[in-house]
Amino acid sequence: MSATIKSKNGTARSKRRFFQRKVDALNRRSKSEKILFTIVFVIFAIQTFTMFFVLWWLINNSLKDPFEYAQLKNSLHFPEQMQFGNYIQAFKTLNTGEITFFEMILNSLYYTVVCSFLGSFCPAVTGYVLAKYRFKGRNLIYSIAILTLTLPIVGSGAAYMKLLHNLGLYDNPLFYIVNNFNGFGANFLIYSAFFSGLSWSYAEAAEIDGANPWQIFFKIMFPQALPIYFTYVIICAIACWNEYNLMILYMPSYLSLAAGLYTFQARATRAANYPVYFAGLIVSMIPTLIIFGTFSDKVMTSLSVGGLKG
Amino acid sequence: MEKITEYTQSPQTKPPRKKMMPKKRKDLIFVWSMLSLFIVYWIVFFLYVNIDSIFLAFQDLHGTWTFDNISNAFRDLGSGDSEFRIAIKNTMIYFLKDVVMIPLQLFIAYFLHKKIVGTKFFRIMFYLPSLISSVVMVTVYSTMIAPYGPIGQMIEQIFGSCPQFLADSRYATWAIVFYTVWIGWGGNMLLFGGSLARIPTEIFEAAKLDGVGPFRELFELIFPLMWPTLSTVLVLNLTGLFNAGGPILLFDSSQLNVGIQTLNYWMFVKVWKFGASAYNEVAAIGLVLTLIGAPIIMFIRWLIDRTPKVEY
Repeated sequence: MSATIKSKNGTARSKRRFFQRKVDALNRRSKSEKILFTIVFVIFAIQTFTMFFVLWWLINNSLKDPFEYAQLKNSLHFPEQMQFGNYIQAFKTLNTGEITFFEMILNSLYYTVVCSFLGSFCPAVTGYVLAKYRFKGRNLIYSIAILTLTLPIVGSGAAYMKLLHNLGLYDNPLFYIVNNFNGFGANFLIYSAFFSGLSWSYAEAAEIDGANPWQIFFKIMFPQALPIYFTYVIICAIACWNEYNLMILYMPSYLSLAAGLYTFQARATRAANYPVYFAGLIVSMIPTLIIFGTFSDKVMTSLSVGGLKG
Repeated sequence: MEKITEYTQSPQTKPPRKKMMPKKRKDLIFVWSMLSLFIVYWIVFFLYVNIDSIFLAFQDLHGTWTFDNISNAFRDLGSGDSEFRIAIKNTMIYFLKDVVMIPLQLFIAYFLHKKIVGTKFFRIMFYLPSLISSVVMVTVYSTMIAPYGPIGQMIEQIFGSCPQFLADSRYATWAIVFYTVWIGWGGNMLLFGGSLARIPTEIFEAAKLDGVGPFRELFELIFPLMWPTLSTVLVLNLTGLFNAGGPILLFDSSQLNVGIQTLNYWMFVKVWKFGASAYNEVAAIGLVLTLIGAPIIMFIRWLIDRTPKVEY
């Protein structure tokens, strides 16, 4: 066992050394470049520090007693006594109207699941059909889809709101499913490019074996797009968890966590218990950080899949 | 955009135009059953909504035809201190900020691509604002720069006093612009990083051997080579011109009316607060803006598309 590990390490090391040399040849820096890189490094470090500072400040103040926090001039001081109870208080008291903190979390979960899984799937269907089948009207649909994406229309929000009221979708949880049923969003182009580059030979073999088009799509073609699909699922999930505009405007009785926290703060007076509110904010950050922590490689590397050439 | 179109329309075997085979019929059933729901969706939520929006612009509250909304919109457009004018001005500020940020974001992506010390760490840290809800970031930022907050205190010590940045119409928009710059540091980072990685290394190596410095490399190599990506980002920004802005709702929680509204936000508030009674006004303003803005945007887009692209 140890021998194999050793040899594995050995090859890894020699590989690394090989790449190191190659990278060095390209990245060897002259003196002026070194100075430039140092300056940029310092700027990057300052920016990073501000991010850390925000997180630290939030956690620090979420652990304070409300009276201690009220002396804001001391907001940089460490809490005299850690008030971990603030986090329990957050679950109990951060309510907006009739919606409790816990209900907000459930709403957010619902939105996130619908948006990420359904919203990322719809454009895959349209992208696939338009890329792999020739039929009358195909070019028309394609042109209309692109036109829809690129027309700089503004101000249709009022008519949209009117339609939602007429359809009974205003303040209705179903709205969110309908809202994510768009098959012609920007992702449609990426899927369509991906599928048209995909060989049809597997599908042909399946066709000869008697598979119908639905089986071909769900069992053969779509599984090949799963890496793109999951990347979109993760990106959508992160964006959707943090969404607040849509809920405030269209779903006032079903606020998500982000929307609920905003509403809570907008209604809060100076005397509100801010440390508890901060604790709520930190709780709201945890899911996206976990998702990112688990899938960071996927998010960071595969965003450019099938995307823009350039 | 065009590239992708060409790509997807790559030649496929054209089915012979004879009488319909059973397989062909099965395929057609598949195609239309898959597409029909999405087409209906598009007709209702895009086509109908936009046509209705035009109708709304020419109607009053009771549905009677009128031209008042449109003439009001033009009147507002003409008067210097109307909310509408302030909204347009702010929207343009955010749009220009977005455009200026593009080369800045490219610089950042360039240094990360060049493996500056701590690249992996910086990449994650710059992506962080996309992970954390704006509600969190805005809350902390507003508290920080308030006169009693840590940064406000610092400013007070240096300059003697600290203005209420977010409650003063002179500073409010710029304070939010500063926030969006701070947060938008890593925007487009992944996209630019991806397209930088696709530039063949040999080009950099050859440039290196010829003694090309980082600035010439950036301006004479990377900018032209990345133009397709840069122009796409620019075109996307242009298309969303009227929607440019920041998380203004979050900054406006006390509804102080300090002139921070953008067009998008202003219409949002109208529909949100006034409901049906604001539909006609919003629709009319939207129509006027689209009629004025769309041709200009389309023209600039056409100019951008005409610039020659480098193939490699």
